[in-house]
Amino acid sequence: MSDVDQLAARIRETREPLRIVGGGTWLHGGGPWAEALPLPLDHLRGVVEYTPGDLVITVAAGTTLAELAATTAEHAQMFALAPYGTPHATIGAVVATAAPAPLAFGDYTVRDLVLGVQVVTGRGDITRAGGRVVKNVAGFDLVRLHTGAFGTLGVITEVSLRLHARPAVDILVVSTLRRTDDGALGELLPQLVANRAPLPMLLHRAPDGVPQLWGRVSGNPARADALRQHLRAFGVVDAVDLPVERVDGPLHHTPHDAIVFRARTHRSDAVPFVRAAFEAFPHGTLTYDPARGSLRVVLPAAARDSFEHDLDTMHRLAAVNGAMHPISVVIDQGRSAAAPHRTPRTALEVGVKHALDPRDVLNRLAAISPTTLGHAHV
Amino acid sequence: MTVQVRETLETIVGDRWVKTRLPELAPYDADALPGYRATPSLAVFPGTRDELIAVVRALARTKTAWVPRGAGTGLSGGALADDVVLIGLNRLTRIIDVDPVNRLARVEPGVVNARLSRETTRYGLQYAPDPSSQTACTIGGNVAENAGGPHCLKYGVTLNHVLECEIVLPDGSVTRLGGAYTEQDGYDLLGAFVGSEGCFGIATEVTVQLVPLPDAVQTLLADFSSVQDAARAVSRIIASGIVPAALEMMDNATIRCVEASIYAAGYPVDAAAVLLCEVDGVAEGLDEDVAIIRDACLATGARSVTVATSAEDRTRLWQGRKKAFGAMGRLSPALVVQDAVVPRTKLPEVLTAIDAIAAEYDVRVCNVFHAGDGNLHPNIPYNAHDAQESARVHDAMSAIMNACIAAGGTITGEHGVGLDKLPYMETLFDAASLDTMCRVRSVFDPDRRANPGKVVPVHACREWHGTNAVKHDTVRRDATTPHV
Repeated sequence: MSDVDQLAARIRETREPLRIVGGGTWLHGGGPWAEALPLPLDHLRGVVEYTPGDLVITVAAGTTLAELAATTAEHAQMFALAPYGTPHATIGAVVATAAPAPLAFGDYTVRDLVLGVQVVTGRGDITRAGGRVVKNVAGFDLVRLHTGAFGTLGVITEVSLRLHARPAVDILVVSTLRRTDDGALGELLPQLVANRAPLPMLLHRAPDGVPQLWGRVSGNPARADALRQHLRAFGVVDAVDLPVERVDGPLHHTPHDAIVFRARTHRSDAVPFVRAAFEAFPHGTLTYDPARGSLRVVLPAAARDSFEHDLDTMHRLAAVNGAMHPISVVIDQGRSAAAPHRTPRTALEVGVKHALDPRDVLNRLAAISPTTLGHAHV
Repeated sequence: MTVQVRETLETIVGDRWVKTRLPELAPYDADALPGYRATPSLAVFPGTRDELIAVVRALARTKTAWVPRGAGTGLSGGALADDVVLIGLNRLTRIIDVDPVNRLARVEPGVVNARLSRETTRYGLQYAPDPSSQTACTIGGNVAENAGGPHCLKYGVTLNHVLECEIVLPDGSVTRLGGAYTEQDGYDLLGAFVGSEGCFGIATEVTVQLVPLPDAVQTLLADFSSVQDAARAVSRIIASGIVPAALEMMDNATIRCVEASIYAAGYPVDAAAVLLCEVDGVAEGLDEDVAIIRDACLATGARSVTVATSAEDRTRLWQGRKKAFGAMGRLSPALVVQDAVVPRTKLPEVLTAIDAIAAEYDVRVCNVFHAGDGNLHPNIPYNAHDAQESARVHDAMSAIMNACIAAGGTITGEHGVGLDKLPYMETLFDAASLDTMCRVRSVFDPDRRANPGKVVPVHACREWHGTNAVKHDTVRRDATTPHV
């Protein structure tokens, strides 16, 4: 009996809730119910199939990002993104949580790069969705459904990923603002929001630090030079180059006791909201991605007031700046902020959960489970 | 179809927009894939969102099955309605708004793809997915099929550009999926809806993201004396780290069709294959990318590589590619346009296999396809009134599909399963995987009234024992055109 067959049998036969255990890098808030029986996947590791010429790799879900990077680097290839967290996170968890990844090559997201999955559903069925080709519309798209489902529909056991060849130049350029007065951010933000160049960028500020502009400069040397000039036009100086492999750097590190808020806003509403957030959380780590309109606020225990107070602050910021569109505020990895009211959409979510895990045995209470799903729209 | 249902629908949309007579229904007997025919029991054409929702609710009350249809340009038989109601969406053509600051557009499902791109160009923006039928196909149809196109190599398929949909479910309830942000919370129901081929409901409104027009574009044409060499050039270009905006291949049969037509693009008629490659983006560095691509082509055996020197040159080169299917119409009255995807490294061997299959079944295959994605379109012009030839075409296409599956590929990259690819679903997926698809479909449509009999073979659904709503096995293939 293979490892996956054993896993399926365990799920079919269990009378207790199970929690999927990957690399153990999940933050505290909203993780699966601690009393549930652990379902470790550390034995599901390694490359299943890799044809470098196809720029596609299939790996077992317990393979870590570090292992994936090492394997693909041998062929001058890469998985285009490095999610927040550590390189010890497993690829299964990255897919299951649709982990946000700053400064991804080509601004790709996890959902753009997962081509296929093998999943053991909550019914104990071993299923496949998608495939190993970069374009595929055969059947309903269950790859997308499992991506970001936090393991509440099934246990991802194998993943096929789209890779990219490393361009001649691929570096992180870190700059600080030329001016440090109060108006500097106000001048920079509109420029970032209006940017049209194909250049992944982030505005980042460490606790009590000064804002930095991070950019991922990729391409042939001539294009890289042009993109570097483009960054300078935003009024930044003191550029430092870092290799893109710096996934353990300050951008990615999230203290284990931190609460992480994510807010999303339209470009048209971003400037006042982001400015106010930078002022409201001087001791937090703030990262604004202008292409996605997302603001990430990391508040370690030492930097925060009560959870309720900080959440209220986020909502107040979103509400008082005359936003034309709703600004959504969510809490990474759980902590329901408001009880969802039943809508046709939540009925669909509950239906999907019931269809694939009718006994609710997998990752009960994980963030996305419809029974705990919490959104706070302001 | 009961008189009561017809009268209810007429009350909603007006008598003029309910068609029941056979001559009126004839235009909806087929989509762009010849070979399959099915006549709806009635066709209804709502003119507003509210009318559309009212129509779906009326059909829900009587448990009536229906099929949504956009422009009818689909290539999988997916929009065929066999004695069930056809809901035409081609009157819902409003571009509700374009928001250039936030780079969004909200449209009704019947908006034609190319019109949306035209309307957004004035803001320096574009709607990137560009199916070959973009001058006719609709955004609603693109969403249903998760349509692609040549420039999807760099910019992604429809799914990558749809941010939010308002949908009406088969039970008549209305909800929104996704959000006008690129990150989403909750299950990715929008991701499941896009490409569900009308089986999960109908999009009443679609919000898409727009992307900036590139600063500069360069288009190359590489000329090869061997199809296999051209396929190897594709792998070499992709491996160089460049992501071309498009990378298309045409074989000699296709080149000759194009050059003999009014769409003649100046392709070399003695070439075994040409590659049409486009790079775009920041102007700086583009010449260097062109040089790398040129070297890759020459290193794999290209006889020559030319670069378009003007916008007119570029338009001419692309016109040949985009009108290639039309040009094939000169050869025979009917054309099978197939769709499959293989791993890029398998292109040379699969193209060789297709040659052998064409010889074995005595059919003529014209290959024009999205080589950068490994997305093949083997096309067979044929005489649909010749039963023997039609049978050979059918068998050849089956052999090609099986060769693609055997090479680790899939049966459709952008046209959808519809009716045409149903027989291959059980080769591609095991019973448990198909059953899971069926279970998810039942969440959206427990009665299986939305586009019945498409995408997943009904007998693959363990939990479903049928209802009286669906006639799924009766769509007739023309006696003389058994397959496309």
